This record gives sequence, C-alpha cells and structure tokens, in this order.
Amino acid sequence: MFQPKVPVFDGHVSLGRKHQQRVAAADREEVWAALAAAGTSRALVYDPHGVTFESFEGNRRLLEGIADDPRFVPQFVVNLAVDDVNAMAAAVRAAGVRSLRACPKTNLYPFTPWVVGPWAEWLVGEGIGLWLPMEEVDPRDVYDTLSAFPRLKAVLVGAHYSHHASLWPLLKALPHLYMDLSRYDVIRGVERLVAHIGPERLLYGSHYPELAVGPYLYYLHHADLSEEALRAICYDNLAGLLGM
Amino acid sequence: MKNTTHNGPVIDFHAHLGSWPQYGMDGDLAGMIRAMDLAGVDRSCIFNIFYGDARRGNEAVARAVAQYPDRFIGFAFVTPHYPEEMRPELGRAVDTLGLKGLKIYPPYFNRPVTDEVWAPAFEFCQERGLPILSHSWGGDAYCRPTLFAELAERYPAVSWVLGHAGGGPEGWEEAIEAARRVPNLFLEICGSARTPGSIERLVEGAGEDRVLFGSDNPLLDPRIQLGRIITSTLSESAKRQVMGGNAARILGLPTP
Repeated sequence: MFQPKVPVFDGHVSLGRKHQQRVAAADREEVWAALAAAGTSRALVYDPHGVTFESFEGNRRLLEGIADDPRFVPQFVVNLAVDDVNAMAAAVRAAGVRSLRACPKTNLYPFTPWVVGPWAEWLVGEGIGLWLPMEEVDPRDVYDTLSAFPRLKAVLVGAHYSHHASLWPLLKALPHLYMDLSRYDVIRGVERLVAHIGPERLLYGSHYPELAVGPYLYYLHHADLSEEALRAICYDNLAGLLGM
Repeated sequence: MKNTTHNGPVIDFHAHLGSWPQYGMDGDLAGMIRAMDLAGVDRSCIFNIFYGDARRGNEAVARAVAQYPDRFIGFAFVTPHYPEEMRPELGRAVDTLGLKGLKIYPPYFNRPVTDEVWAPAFEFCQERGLPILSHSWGGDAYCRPTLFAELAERYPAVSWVLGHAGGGPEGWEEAIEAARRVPNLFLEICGSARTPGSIERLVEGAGEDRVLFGSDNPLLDPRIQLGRIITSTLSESAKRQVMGGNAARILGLPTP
C-alpha cells in the first residue's frame, strides 16, 4: 500500500457537516481516520458552516469539533464585508489561529481593496494568512487587491484546470501569492509550476472530504521533484506560512 | 517500456492528442510519455477530436503512434457534421492508418449519441468489432449513461466504453445501472471529481471486469487518476483488472 515518504501537512480539509449534502466524514475521528490512512501528519481545518452562514458560529463549532486535538490546526472563516475586525482579531488571538478563509462570492461581496482595506493592517501586522478559494474570486480583483497590499500573505485554493489561464500570470505577477494544489490536475502541473515559480509557494492540500486523500499524494511522490521540494510542498511551506 | 511499478499491464483507455493551452494542455508528446513513465503506464489509447476535419486528427494520431509504437494505441475520430465521410474515413483510419477503435464526443459536437447521424460509424464498428469510447455525463441529454445501454444492445459486437463513467456521483450511479443491463458496456474512470470511495463504488456496482483506468492525459495528469486506483481499497486482483487487464481484453492484447 502506498504511503508518503515525507511528513504531510494537509492544508485543505473541512471538518463538520454541510447543510447541502452528506459528507464522507464529518467528525474529528472520521476525518482523521481517512487522513491518517493516507499518511497525513497534521491538517489545517475549517468549518463549512462558517462559509455558508455565519463565520463566528462556524468558528466556534470548529473549535468544539477539534477539541484541542493537536493533529488539527484551526483555520477561521471570515466574512470580510460584514464581520467586525476587532471581534475577529480577539477570537483569532484567543484560539491561537494563524490563518483565515474568505469566500467573497458565496458571501456576496467583491474581493476589492475597499473591502479588504479595513482588515489589511491587522492581517499584515499579525502575519495572518488569507486563504481564497479560486472559484470565490475574480482574478482581476485578486491582482488589484494583493497589489494594493503587497505584504498580505494570501493562498489561492482549489485552482482547477479551468483556472489555468489566469492562475499562471497571477502567480508570476504576485510574488507573495501561494497556491493550494488540491484540485490542480493539469498534466505535469506540479513540475511545471516548480519551473515557473519555484516550490516555495506551493502547498499540498487534499480537499477532503470532497476529494479522496491518497491520489494527490501518490502523484506528488511520483513527480520529478527533489526530496527537498517534495518535503517543502507536503509540509514545510505550510508550516512556515503559519509561523509554526 | 514495460512498467516495473505495477504487477500487470497498465493501459490508459482515455488520452488525447493535441493542444488546449488555456487548460494547461500543452500537447507535448515527450511530456505525455514522461508522465506515463512516472506513473507506470505501459500504453495509452490516444485520439484527436479537435479538428472539424477528422482526417487531419486521425493522421496526427497515426504519426504519434508511429513515433511511439510501443506506448500509444491509436483511436479514430469522426465528425457527425459530415456523416457522408464517416464510413470512408473509418475504413481509411483502420485499414490504412492502423487505428484500433473510435472515440466520439457527442455534446462537444452538438449531436446526441442517439442521433441517427452516428449510425454509419456505429455500424462500421459493429462489423469490425471495434471498441467505441464516448464522453458520458450524468444528466446530459446528449450523452447520459442510460442512452448507451440501448446502443449496446443494438450493436452487441461493440465494446462501449463510457468515458468518465458518467462524470460524478449521480452519473456514476446511472452508469452502473446501464452496465448492469448489458454485458458489453464498460466504465472508464477519469475525471477531476475524485470523491472518496468512487473507484470502490464503480467496481462494487458494475463488477471488477467492467471498470477501466483512463486519465484524460494530457488534460489531466495520469499519476493522479492511477493514484485513485492504487490508493483505493480494491483487492490487488481487482486493481490489476481495472488498471489494464480489462482494457487488454477489449483491445485483443495479450494478458499475462
């Protein structure tokens, strides 16, 4: 049975039930069973309730679900348009959270400098990373906003082959932009990205429980990558981004 | 090159020839071969569906097969917009160019698979016993899996292969149902929906002798699609069947 040869820090996992579908695994033990079977050491997790409905409630649910289990690293969901910066900062500080996930399209606002502006100073000052699902943002807004706040650490999540044409110029134009690989199935995509921007900004993520955990790890372990690059993509880049 | 990674032949039943740069598909033959080598894929069935002139695509396939005769198996393509060309072009593609099957893509060419316009091509494949690989997608009126069960009954000498096996959870169930109705319908797995347990469900539903590895190379990377099988909970014998044994049988290739 295939097992990874380097430590794996999964940067894209949701924990908890969704209202619109039955999920393959919802609670901590179920999710960990699937992650561990694929050889995962640690996972960055968010609660999907916070995406669709109310971020603070979702984040509370997340902490309950994790129950201080050190294998799970909490990621809070934020609604940049309506949430209060000070309240979120207090919640983040109290929970020791190091990253936020924003879903502008679902939450009906644009990812523009005039929305992100009130958050930028705090995010940059604290070194909090901002995860942005590719399907939730217009690439033009990503470029404009991250150019306006060049010290903001951002991660594009779930880019698919249909995003390829805008993804490549974005990654080249924004040297502080990271990329989650979970849905990037493009032929020799990882090797080509490493040649394009280097391995430092690439993060492994499974997108579990939407997608199976093993196949992408199998791919990374059969890629033309040095062991150093493999280790960076599978663990070190994410750990560094989160200041761990 | 024989793969040394897997215990048995690995045959990719779904690979394209050509470029589609906006999706990252660069048409680099050497790159396709490199990805096949890294995955442990012995041979890939390739076709070119991108031209309005099928002859041009089929000739490109024949050239690629000539360049890598041990790695590629050529499939023909015909366009439904020129039905009068179907039979002569298939004859040329099979008898002169040496292609071994037919690939169709009904929604991309705006003709449902049930349209009688396809009949000359299906009749040719029935006469020659050639496999037909078609794009399939659950709920798509042009290519939903249930449409193929009726065709499989009408053309029983054809091995009908449903590309993407219906495309996602709902389509997979529809494809399983279709496969249970007829013995000559097979489910090919490729796609970016990598739902947990998807391979196991297809095999459980349709049988391990009815599911085929395919990758969509060079749109999708074959290592990820093969990884879906490798990292599944299927038995080793079922994995061997799905990875290549079933395809070898359909294509008339020797099996160990």
